[in-house]
Amino acid sequence: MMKLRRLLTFTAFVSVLASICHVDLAFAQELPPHVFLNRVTNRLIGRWPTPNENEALSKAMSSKNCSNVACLDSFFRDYIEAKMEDPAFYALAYSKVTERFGYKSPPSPLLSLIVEAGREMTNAGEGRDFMLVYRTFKDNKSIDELFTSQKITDPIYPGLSVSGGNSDFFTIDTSPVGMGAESPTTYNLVLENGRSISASEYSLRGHPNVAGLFSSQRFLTRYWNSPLNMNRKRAAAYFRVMLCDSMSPALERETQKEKETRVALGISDEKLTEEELRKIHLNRHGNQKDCAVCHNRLDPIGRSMRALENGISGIPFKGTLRYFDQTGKLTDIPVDNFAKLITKTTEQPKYLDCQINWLIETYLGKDLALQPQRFAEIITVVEKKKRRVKDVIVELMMIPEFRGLNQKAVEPPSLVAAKAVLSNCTECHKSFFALRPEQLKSRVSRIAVCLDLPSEGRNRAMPPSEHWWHPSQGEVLAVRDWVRAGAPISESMKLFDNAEVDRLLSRGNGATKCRD
Amino acid sequence: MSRLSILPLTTTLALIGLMNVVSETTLAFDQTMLRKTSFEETESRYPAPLAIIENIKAIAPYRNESINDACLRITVESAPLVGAIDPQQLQPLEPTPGPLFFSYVEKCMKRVAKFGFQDAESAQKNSELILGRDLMARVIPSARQSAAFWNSTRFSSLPRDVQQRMVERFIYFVVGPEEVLRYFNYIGPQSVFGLNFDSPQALAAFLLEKIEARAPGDTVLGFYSRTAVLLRLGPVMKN
Repeated sequence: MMKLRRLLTFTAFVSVLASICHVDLAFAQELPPHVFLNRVTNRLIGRWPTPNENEALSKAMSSKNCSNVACLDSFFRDYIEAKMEDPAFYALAYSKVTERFGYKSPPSPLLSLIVEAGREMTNAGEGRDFMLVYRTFKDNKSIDELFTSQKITDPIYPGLSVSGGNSDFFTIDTSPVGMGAESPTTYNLVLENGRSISASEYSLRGHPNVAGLFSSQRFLTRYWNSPLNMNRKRAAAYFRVMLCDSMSPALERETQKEKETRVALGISDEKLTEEELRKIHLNRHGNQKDCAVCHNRLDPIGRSMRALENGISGIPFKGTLRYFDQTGKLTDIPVDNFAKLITKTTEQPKYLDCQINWLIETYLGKDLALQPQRFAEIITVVEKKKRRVKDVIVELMMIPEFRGLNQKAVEPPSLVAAKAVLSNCTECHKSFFALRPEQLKSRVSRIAVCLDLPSEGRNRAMPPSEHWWHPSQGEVLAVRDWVRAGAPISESMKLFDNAEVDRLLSRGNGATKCRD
Repeated sequence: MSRLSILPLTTTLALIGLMNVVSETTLAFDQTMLRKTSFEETESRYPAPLAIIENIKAIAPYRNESINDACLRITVESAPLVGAIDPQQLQPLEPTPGPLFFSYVEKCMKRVAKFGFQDAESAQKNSELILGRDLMARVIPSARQSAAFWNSTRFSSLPRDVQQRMVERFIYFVVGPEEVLRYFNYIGPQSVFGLNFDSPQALAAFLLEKIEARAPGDTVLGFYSRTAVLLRLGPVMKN
């Protein structure tokens, strides 16, 4: 035993550096087909391929006389689609969604146990939440369905006396949608062993306050509300999930943090003590100037959520979708109710950018070297696929970058010139040309203000006066010319349309500030 | 977001070895090694904490449905161990898996393997999957004897050529074909074992010799579990 340990230790020490170097080297070239099969299988279902699957790939390789992934495109597409029928795929997808919403992880990779968790009265909404995610993925619906769905799918628990689907303490006023909600249809969930669990499906189409995972009991109890909080906590979660805006509190209150951690981890929560309440009241950070930057956006969203408490009212509350768009412009879109707020959000480019980025990070990894041009191309593909989750995952997994190939886009000369100038900014600022197009737009909008592009840099605020580098007029013009051309990032893609360019380069454009 | 990221196999093996042999005086080095392991979400990572459990289950995928072992569930206690996120911060609960993580994976894998060969039906299905039909037909005369073969037969009592073929099949099942072995440095000039194995057969011969010397009285199941844990604990984190 000791001999083996010593051998392992010694050999491991000797080869640590060599191995790490080899990994780097390996990622510089395309993954071999069997390694790609391994990677895809792990990402989708968390397991490695079976011998039969490896042998099927070997057969496909020899029958096509092919030894790279590109010429096995149809094999891998079929394989990915087949893996997405595995129950483990749904369990893993659900765990990713719960993470995103800041919930406790599912207890097990077994679907039956995930659904069973909904039997616990402390967590009665988990079954419904899971069913919505399962249904969206299983039926290859648009990713928007997770947030906009007005169907409640309630698992039927054998031996549990539940009269009607909405009879637990989390109630929904179904009066706005009439009798439709009273006559459920059946939906079957297929488990690991091939058996199925039935669920009742209630249609609440047209309800003003039912909107997918945001109107679920899990969401409403996880992001608890109070007369003081006025749905800001929920609105902040909405910004994080829908628009990838972190919306983190500028001031951290320790008492609240501890309480939220307890709630988030699923540990039964106790009531706030008088002392905790007093501390919270003494520190109303929303009233402070810096904090108002976020609160100005949170509050209009929170107003539309007023119908959402431990139950959901049928009364609509007007609100406003207020957010900074990709050009840094504060956008106001009035909405009649919460459901419309969510639907309207799904129409915003910033939303799609956020969701695709989440899918990429989930299935491909956070550190995938994807250029903004490539990200834009992927967005186009996603729209062609009508945002259907499974179709999108297949497309994502088949991008060359995921198998180790770097796709270099040809950069227009104006971009090359602007990049050369702006590379001086990276001494203090993070390099931004690797950002996603939506983020890049936002950053370039700010640069236009900071460098005072409308006035050819005469009143620029950056770099600061004490900085060693100051751009010449020629350098400022190089950046301006790139922006004037619509800030092209490839031969076929521009960041800004003509109206946006006019706005960016017009004097007196106060929409974006150089500094907050 | 939480994910256990790439663990170079060598790092993992070093950790396993180190966990058993290091004394407190070498703790600093141990910590340095641990930093290479993280719960960050990277291109080569676990897709989710549940995937760690899926990977553990895959060591013997067929088993009695009623088996629901505690090590296959995520609880408040086990969440930091398998890499769950802090739901409030949306950050990993622990920045790195602690040393207990490796012993957790090892123990759980062994338990799952045991469950997979407990009854004749599961044992038969797992045998076919792991050994392949031909080898299974050679070593297990009838389906009814499947569980007994894995649980009662001493691995060392099998003919040498059968032992060699079985280890080759274990490697094929647990890691994959030669292309995968080469990519993850199980074989080749920079092999994680410090030797230049030019083929899966050479690796199998090496493992056969070393593991047999370590536990000469192992049953077939015991031998398989040891081999699988050793091979998977590194690249199980990869991909």
